[in-house]
Amino acid sequence: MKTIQPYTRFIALVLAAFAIAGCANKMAPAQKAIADIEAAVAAAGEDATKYIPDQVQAVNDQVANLKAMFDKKDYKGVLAAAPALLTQAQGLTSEAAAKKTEMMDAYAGEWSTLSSSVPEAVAAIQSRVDVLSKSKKLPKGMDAATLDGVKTGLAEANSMWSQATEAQAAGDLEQAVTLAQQVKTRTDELLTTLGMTAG
Amino acid sequence: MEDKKSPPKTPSWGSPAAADKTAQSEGGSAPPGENRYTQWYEVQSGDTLWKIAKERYGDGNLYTEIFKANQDVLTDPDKIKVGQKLRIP
Repeated sequence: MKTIQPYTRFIALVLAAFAIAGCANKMAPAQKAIADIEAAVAAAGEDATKYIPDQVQAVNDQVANLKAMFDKKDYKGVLAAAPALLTQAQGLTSEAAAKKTEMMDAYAGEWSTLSSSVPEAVAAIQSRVDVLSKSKKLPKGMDAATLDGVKTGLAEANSMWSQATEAQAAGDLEQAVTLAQQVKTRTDELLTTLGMTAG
Repeated sequence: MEDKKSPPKTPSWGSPAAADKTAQSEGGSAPPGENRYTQWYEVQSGDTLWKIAKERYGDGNLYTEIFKANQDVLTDPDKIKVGQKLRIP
């Protein structure tokens, strides 16, 4: 026993050294694997966060899981899960681009509709306001305060429409459509107040 | 041809909202190329431009506005026909 003990200790130390070396060998690749995934998410940029936030969040959640595994020194687990997550993260760029294209097409269609209908609504309201402004006695259901309110609302709608067309001219279709929809809501309210309807 | 002074044979539309909804349902949808928000009114028996202006604008003297907006179909403000579809600016 006395002669075996030092030998056993030696073996145990050697095994421990191998184990530590093995961990150290996997630690750096695991660290790099996580960094690569984070880099892929970062490369997807703001478009990914804006257009596919759920997918970005899903990847980030899994990255957090990998980091937790890493902190527990489960490098093997990190290395096993990392490749699939890296592929997923690298796909964010193309998915964001596709979603952006889809949304831009939708905005373009919406703008096409609104840029035609909103000016017509504004023109019709302006026409009615112009005539009512000449009236010595307003029709039933309409008083001076209501007409003044319509005039104010129309001025606001015109101002917002100018902002919308400026945004469209500047290439910000999303902002243009957002503003145009607000103008549409406003003009719909004014049309209702004036008792007018779309043809 | 309708007499400008003839008495109304159709009931008042009440509020402006009710008025143009009636006009819209009577006048149908806007013709191609026309502003889709143009308000239309189909002339009824007993109507005059003055009467229509009075009901729409509260002031019959504004019949000239209706006449001006319909010069493609009207040549005389005193001559409107039942069934004619008029723009109400």
